[in-house]
Amino acid sequence: MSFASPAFVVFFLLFFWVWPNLAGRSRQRFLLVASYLFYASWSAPLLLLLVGSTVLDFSVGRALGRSEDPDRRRGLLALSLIGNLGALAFFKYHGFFAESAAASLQALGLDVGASTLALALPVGISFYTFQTLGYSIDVYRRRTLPCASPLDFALYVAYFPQLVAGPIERAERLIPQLAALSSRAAPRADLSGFGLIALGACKKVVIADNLAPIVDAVYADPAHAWAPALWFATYAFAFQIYCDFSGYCDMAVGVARLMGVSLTQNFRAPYAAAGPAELWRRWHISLSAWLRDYLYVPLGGNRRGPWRTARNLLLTMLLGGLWHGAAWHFVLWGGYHGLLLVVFRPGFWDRINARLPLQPLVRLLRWFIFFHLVCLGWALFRAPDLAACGVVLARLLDPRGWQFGSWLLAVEASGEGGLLALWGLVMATLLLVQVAGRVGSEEWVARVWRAPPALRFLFVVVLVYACVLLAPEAPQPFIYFQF
Amino acid sequence: MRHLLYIVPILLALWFVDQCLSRDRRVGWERNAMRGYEWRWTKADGRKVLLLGSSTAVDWLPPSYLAPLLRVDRDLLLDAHVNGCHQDCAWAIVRRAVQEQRRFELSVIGVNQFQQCDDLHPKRSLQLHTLMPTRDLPRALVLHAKGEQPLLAAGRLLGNILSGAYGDTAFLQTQWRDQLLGARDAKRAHRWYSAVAPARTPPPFCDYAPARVAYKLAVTGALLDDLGQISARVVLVLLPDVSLSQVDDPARVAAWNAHRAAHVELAATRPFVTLIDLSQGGAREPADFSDGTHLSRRGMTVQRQLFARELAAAGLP
Repeated sequence: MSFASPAFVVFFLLFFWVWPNLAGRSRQRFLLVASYLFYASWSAPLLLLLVGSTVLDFSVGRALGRSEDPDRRRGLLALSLIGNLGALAFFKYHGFFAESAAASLQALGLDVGASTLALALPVGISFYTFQTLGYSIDVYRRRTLPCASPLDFALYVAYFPQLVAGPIERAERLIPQLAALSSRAAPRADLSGFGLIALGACKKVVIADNLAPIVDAVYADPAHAWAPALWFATYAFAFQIYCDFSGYCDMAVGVARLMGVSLTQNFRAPYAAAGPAELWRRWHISLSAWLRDYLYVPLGGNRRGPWRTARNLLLTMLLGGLWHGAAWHFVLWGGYHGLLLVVFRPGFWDRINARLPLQPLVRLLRWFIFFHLVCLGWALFRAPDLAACGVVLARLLDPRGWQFGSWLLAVEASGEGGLLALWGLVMATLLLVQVAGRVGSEEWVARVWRAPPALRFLFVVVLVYACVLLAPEAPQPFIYFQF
Repeated sequence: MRHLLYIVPILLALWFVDQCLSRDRRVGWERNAMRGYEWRWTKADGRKVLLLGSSTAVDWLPPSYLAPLLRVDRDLLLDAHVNGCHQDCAWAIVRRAVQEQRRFELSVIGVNQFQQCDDLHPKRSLQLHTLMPTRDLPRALVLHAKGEQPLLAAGRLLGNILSGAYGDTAFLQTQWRDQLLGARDAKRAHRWYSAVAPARTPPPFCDYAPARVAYKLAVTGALLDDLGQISARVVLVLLPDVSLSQVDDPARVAAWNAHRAAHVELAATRPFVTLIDLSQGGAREPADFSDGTHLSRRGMTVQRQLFARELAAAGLP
C-alpha cells in the first residue's frame, strides 16, 4: 500500500477516525496493529522478519543494559550485527553475490551456474535493519538507554509512516516520542502535516510519476538514444528520484505530525549544493548521518591523515551504494560519490576559490559544475546494469555525438517538442526554487502555515486536486521501496 | 471551528471546477460509452433477451447476429453492453434491472478470461460507481473484500464519489495534451530519443492465480444469482484470450483449468445457467486476435461457428 495510492487514503481515514478516540496504552497498541497491517499489505509472511528483528534487538538491548562484562557486551553486539546484516545479506544480496562469484569464476575459465533462490525482497528491510542496528550500537556505546517497554520498541521498529522508506530514525529521538503517545500529556496533532502530505503527494504523483515514462523510454535502450535526449532524461531522472523520494518523506513526516510525532527532515534542497559534502547534508540526510556515525567515524573518519580519510570516505560510500541495491552499478554510483568527496575535500579547493575574483560568479560556476556531476552520478544509478553505465557515460560525455541541431529536428519530427519544453520548464522551476530558497518542504509548508487559514486550505485542496487531475493512469511504485 | 468556515468557498469553487470538467458531454469517452447504454436501456421496455458484457463479448456477437440465431425479433433484444464492462459492471446493470423489476426470457453474458486479472483499473471503479444503484455500493465493497486489494478498490470508489473528474482523469489529460501540446502520434513519438522504434508492448497476460481472480469469481456468482431473479434462463459464455494458446508453463495451465472449473461449478450450481465454453475449441491462435483480447475477423468467424453449435447443443432457442 503506497502512500500515493487510493488504498492509503482509505487506510488513513480509517486510522485517523479511530486514533483521536484512544488514549493511553490502547493508543499505542492500535498504532502497532495498524503498522503491522500496513506492512502486511505487501506481504504478510515477511511481517515475521520484521517481528524477528524487533525481538532480536529488543532482547539484545535489554541484555546489554544488564551486562557490564565487555566480552559479553561485544558478543551481544555481534549477535545483533549478524542477525540484522545476515537477514539483509540473505534476502537482498545472496543472488547478487552468487551471480557475481559465478561470473568471476567464468572469467577464470570455470563455468559454474549461479544457483540462487527466488526470494521476494522484504519491503523496507534496508531501512528498518539500519534503524534497529543503530539502536543496538547506541545501547552498546551507552549513548542511549535500553528501551524498557516491548511495545515502545515494537513501535520504534514498525512505526508505519517511516517503516518502508525512512527517514531512518535514531532511538533516542523517536522512542521517547512514541512512548509519550500513551501518556496523559500526549503531544497534540500538528495540522501542518496536511500541508506536507499534500505537497509530498503532488511531488510524487504529478511530477515524479509523469517524468518516469520519459526517463524509462530513453534508458530502455541508451545505445540507440540521441545524446541530448539522454541528457534530458538524466536531468528528468534527477528530478524524478528527488520528487519520488522526498515526496514520500514529506508524506511520512506529515502523517507522523498528525499524531504529534516529529520525524527527521530527510531533504533540504539538495540540488542547491555546490559540493559533495554539502550534498550529503541535504540529500537523504538520515542515511548520510547513519553512515557517518556508524561507519565512517568508527573506521577512523578524518583523524588519521589524508590517505586514511580518503579510504574511509570511499569505503563508506561504496557500502552506501551497495545499500541502495544489489547491483554493481549502485556500487559504482557509491564509489563515484566517494571519489567526489575525496577530490572535493574542503580546504584545498576553498583556498583556491577564495583567491579568485568575482566570487558570486565563482560560486555559481561551482554549483553548475557540481550539479552536472551529480546528474552524471544519477546516470550511473539509473542505467539498467554495469555494462550500460559505460554506454551511457560515453554518449553523455562525448561531444562529437551530441549533434544538437539534428536532435532538434528529430524533436520536431516526433511531435513531442511541446511536452519536452513543458517538462524542461517544470524542471528549471524546481531547480530555481531549490537554489533560491535553499530550504526543504518543511520550511515551505511552515511559511504557508503562517498565512491565514483560508490560504492554508487553498494550498492543501489545490494540491490534492492537482493530484486527482494530473496523476498518470498507471501509478509508479516509489523508487526507494525496492531498496 | 471558525477557521473551518474558510474551507467552504474553496470547496465550492473546486466543486464548480469539478462539475465543469466532468459534466461536459464532450469529456470522457468512458462516461459517454455508459450514456449510450443508458439511452438504449431507457428506450427499451418489454424486451425478451438481455445482452450483457464488454466489447469483447459483443463485437463478435452483435444483436443483428444473435437475434436470428435465437429466432427472436431484433427489436426484442436489449443490447446492454458497455465498453470495458466486466463482471462487476454487468452486475451493477443487473442490480438496476432487479430494482426496476424488469423481466427477460433469456440473458447472455460473455466473460473474457483476461477480465479476471484486471479489476483494479480506474475505469472499473467509474463504471461501478456510475451504474450501481447507490444503496448497493456497500454490497460491492463487501465483494471487493474478497479480492487482492480491497482498500484500493474502496479508495477508487471514494475518489469517484468525491470528484466527478477523478474517473476521467486519463481522458482529461489526453484531451488537454491534445489541445495544449498537439495530438500524440504513437508511430513517430519515439523519434525525439531514438531512431529505432521501441518493441511493441505484448498483449495483456492473465496468470489466473486464485488470489487474483477471487473477487471476480465472487462477483460472477452474485451476478448470476441476480440474473436468476430477472431472467428465466442465463447463458454464461466463457471467452478465450490469446495467451491461452501460448501457455506452456504447467503451473499456469493448471491455474487456468482450475479457474475454468470454477466457472463450470458456478453454472452447475444454478440450474437456470447454461455454460457455453468457447475457450477450448474457439479462437485461440494469435491470428484470431487483433490485440490479444479483441477478435480479428478470422477469430470472429471461428467463434461464431462454435457458439452456434454449442447453443444448439444446449437446446437453445
